[in-house]
Amino acid sequence: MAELFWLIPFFPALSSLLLILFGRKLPRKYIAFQACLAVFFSLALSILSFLSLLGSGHEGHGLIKNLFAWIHSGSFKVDLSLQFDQLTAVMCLVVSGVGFLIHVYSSGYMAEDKSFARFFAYMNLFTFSMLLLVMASNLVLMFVGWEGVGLCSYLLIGFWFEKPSAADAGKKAFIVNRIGDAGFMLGIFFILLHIGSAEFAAVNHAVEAGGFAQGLATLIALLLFVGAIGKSAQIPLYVWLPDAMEGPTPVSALIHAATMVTAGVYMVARMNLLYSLSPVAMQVVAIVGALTAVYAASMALTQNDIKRVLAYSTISQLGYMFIGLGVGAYSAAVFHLYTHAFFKSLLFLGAGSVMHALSGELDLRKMGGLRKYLPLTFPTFLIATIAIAGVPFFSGFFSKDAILTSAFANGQYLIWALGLMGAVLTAFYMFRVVFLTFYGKERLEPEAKAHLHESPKTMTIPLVILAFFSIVAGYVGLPIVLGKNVNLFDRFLEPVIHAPHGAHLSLSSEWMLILASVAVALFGIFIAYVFYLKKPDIPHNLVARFPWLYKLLYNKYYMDEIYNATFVNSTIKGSELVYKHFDLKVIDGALNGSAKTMNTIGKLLSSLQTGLIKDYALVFLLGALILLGYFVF
Amino acid sequence: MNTFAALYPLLSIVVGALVVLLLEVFLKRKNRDYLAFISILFLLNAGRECIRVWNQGYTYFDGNLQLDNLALLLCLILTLATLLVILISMKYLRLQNVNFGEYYALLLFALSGMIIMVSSTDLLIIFLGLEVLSMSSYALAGLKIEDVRSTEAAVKYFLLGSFASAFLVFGLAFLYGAAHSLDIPAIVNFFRADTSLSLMALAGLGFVIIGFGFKIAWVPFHMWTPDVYEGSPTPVTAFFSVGPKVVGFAVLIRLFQLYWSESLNSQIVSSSLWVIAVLTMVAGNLLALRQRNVKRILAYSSIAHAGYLLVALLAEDNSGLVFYLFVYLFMNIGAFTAVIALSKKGTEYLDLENYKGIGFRYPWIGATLSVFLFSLAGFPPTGGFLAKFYIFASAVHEGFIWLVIIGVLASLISVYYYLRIVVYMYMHTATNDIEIDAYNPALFLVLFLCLYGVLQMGIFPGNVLIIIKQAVASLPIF
Repeated sequence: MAELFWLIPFFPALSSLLLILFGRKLPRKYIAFQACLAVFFSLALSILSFLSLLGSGHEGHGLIKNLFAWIHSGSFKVDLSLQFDQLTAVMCLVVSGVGFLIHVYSSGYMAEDKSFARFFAYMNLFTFSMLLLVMASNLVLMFVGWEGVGLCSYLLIGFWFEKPSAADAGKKAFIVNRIGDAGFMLGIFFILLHIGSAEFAAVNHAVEAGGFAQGLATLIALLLFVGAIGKSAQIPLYVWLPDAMEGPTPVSALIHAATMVTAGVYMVARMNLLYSLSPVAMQVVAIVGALTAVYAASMALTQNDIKRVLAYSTISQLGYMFIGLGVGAYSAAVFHLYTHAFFKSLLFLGAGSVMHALSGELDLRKMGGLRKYLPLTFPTFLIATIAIAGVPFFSGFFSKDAILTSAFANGQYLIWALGLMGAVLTAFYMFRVVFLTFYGKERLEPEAKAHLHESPKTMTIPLVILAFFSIVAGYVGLPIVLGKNVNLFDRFLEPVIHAPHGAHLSLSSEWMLILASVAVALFGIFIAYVFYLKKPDIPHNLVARFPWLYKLLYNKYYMDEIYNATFVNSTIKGSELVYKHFDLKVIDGALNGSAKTMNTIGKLLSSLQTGLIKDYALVFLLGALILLGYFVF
Repeated sequence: MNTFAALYPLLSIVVGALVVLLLEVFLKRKNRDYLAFISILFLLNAGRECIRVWNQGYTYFDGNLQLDNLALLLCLILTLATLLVILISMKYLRLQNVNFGEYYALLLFALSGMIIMVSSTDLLIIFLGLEVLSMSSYALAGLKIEDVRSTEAAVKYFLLGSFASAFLVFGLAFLYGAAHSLDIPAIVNFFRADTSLSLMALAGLGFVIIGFGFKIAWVPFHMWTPDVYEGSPTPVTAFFSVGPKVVGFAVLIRLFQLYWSESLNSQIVSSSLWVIAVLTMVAGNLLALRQRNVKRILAYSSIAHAGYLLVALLAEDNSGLVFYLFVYLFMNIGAFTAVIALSKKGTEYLDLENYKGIGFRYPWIGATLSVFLFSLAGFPPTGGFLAKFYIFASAVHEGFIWLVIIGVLASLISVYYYLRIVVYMYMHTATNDIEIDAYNPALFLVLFLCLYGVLQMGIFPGNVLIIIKQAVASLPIF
């Protein structure tokens, strides 16, 4: 079965095609069934391939399937080939596994929507693109998937395109991503130019053979990282992700947990050998990640829209992953990606369930006391919150701790401190959401209260499954203090992560670090408890004392306004000027003029076309005479 | 290897034609479709034979018939073209009341002539094949005997074709006089060994170029094209626009592949072909601008494409040329198929006015026709783009910078008339009611086959290119 691994992405692709072509005529039940089944097939095949990879031991280099030669032009050659190695296995399991649960959830969540088939066609296409991205064995094919998820996110964020804000958010996501893609493309071009192949194996080979000078490696690594910044929403290109909330909630879950934003992290992990060549690029990655982790967390503190809080928390968590990548702890970063997928999708789906219960209400100020009304949503949401806050024995704790420990071990104390600060903030804002939503007084709108109900089974069962994984997923990557070789995850990824391991700490300092992260998480939770349950007037007093700080955070540091004023408006003004003075006058003038000339010549020429055979023969003969005359004389 | 097996593809076609002729006597008029199916069976068999002897290098008749890989690939292309044309003819013939059984036999005979042309290196044999093709073509052009335009097309084609054939034969005589052989390698060797310019040989070469230039429709030997294309039944036009071009270039590839590399007088030939290429690209596209009849637009467009193909010939990019022919087959037959689909009993909708709003009324026809037009204009991600790209890229590589600049500008002009059809289909509201009853599974099969071909070669050209490279490798290298 494992040889058939290359079929994994094609189930959703086929399903998507069928839904696009015939979706309008199919019954709703069937549409949902087919879409979920297609992703389930991918999941099943991923699991089978994963098991056979496990069975092949640590030496297993993974499989490569060359489907066919795609571009053949001189020495430039790109094959359409897919691979399945350890890193791909992790990504495939996450994408298809979490993706499958989100599909099931969507069948309940979107049940009332009028464009049911279109929704699932896009979702399938999204899953296909992401699977293609992680399974591609060369950068060019990966770029196809990369662009595919960009396109699908545009389509899905703007799914309710009747709403102007949704259409705008879709456009914003697409345009901001294009900026990153430009850098990514340049990086690919440089690699192609330098080694003539875009295969990952060839790139790794060239790196090992010393084929890259350090300067070149830095340049390429940074260019590729620009692409990752766009896709994975890091400073300064993070602005699209919060607005992406305009899409249906399952879409947010898919974007934030399984697909899209993890692409950047995956890409850097995939190119880890190249990055390891360039300390400068690594440092940049780590700094961007650490800044983003704190910066985004600070914005999450004051948001009142439940989905926006989660969006900023995603940006912040992605920052952690980049810290991991930047300090050389590639497998820890991928580990965090993997645990994050479970609890973040759970948070989004839980938020969706809350919205569903409250007839679409998103404002935290209009919730409260929902604990008793949502007997399944509440505990699962709480589990996810505990996991993301970094409380021990939950999955998020292990992965976040692995990243921070590596940062510390590599001597990046500042990065480590920033990460710790982000952790306090994370614990605080996440428990703020829980307390405001599920505890305290009910602040519901009367009509929302009237319809209050727990979500249907198709929605709650995925929640329960995800909650289970949010707890246990971390146990495959236990910290070293619990014994050597307990980190199965690291060992599994070893064949792909070629980078040398960083410095090791003594056991006692490891314990100290762990205690520090635990203390920090508990501190954050405690503060949130005091602020929002014990003495709810503290936040108001704080806002009154520091209004400028609150305003700054609430308005997200005015970043959108700054971007609008500097880049967007100046571009629009500039293009208007060009249009008025250059386009209308020079280009249009030249175009119309030449079109007229061409038309006149055409008229003259067609006057030769008399329809009389003698004239035709005459032209023929003249041409022949001229040609022969030229030949002979 | 000299073996009878080399004859199988050709034999299958000829036997098919004879069987169709015989059966026609016994079939009632409404059952004529069976003849189409029988022809298709023989075509499929011929295609199978071609694939079976791939890489074998079979010859017969003392090497006068050579099935090298290039010949086989071109045979396959031509067989495929004929097959598609037959598929789009069935409904059309009934609707236009020209359902004669000879039609299929004539098509098969024409195909047999073309197969002879691509699989021989003896110019006299090639001429024989050309005459077989021409005779069948004249009859096919005049198939609509009750339509004045069709008859006119046949007469024009016949008279001017004979004129051109005379040039060709004259050229052959000169060449034989100079080189004492009509075998292409021998002629080429003669040219390469000749240190002084032999008048007779050059004149002979000129006559031969003119003769084939007529078939391929290069300017100024193109005058017949629009009238014949317009008057002929539309499936026949589709056939004319692809078949003769393929064979014409096949012969020229063989003639010039050997010729260019290091010959004293190649400069003259190359510069005169340069002029012809420019004339053909520019005049073909300019003339198309003013047409309002879709068949005429496509006729001029096919002239322009002959110009692009000539660029490939000049740049010695044989694989690019074959690739272009392959893509051209799909996009042009596809476009004609869409035109055929827009017809009803006794009427064809050919004027641009009739295309108003078609895109919304008949979404599949509109969408596929748009793709074919985009491909003809050379937009990515269609095959037309890559084909042009390969040709122009190798022309730049060979130093034909100006030729490429003119070619790109000319194809820029072509965007106007191709997209005008799309604009009519999608951006004008329908003024008059168009009812079509040419809906037919075979037509849709061809539409989608061509769509597939155009996209496959635009997006995943890899495998096709590998096959073409294998085919071109069978040409001798000096």
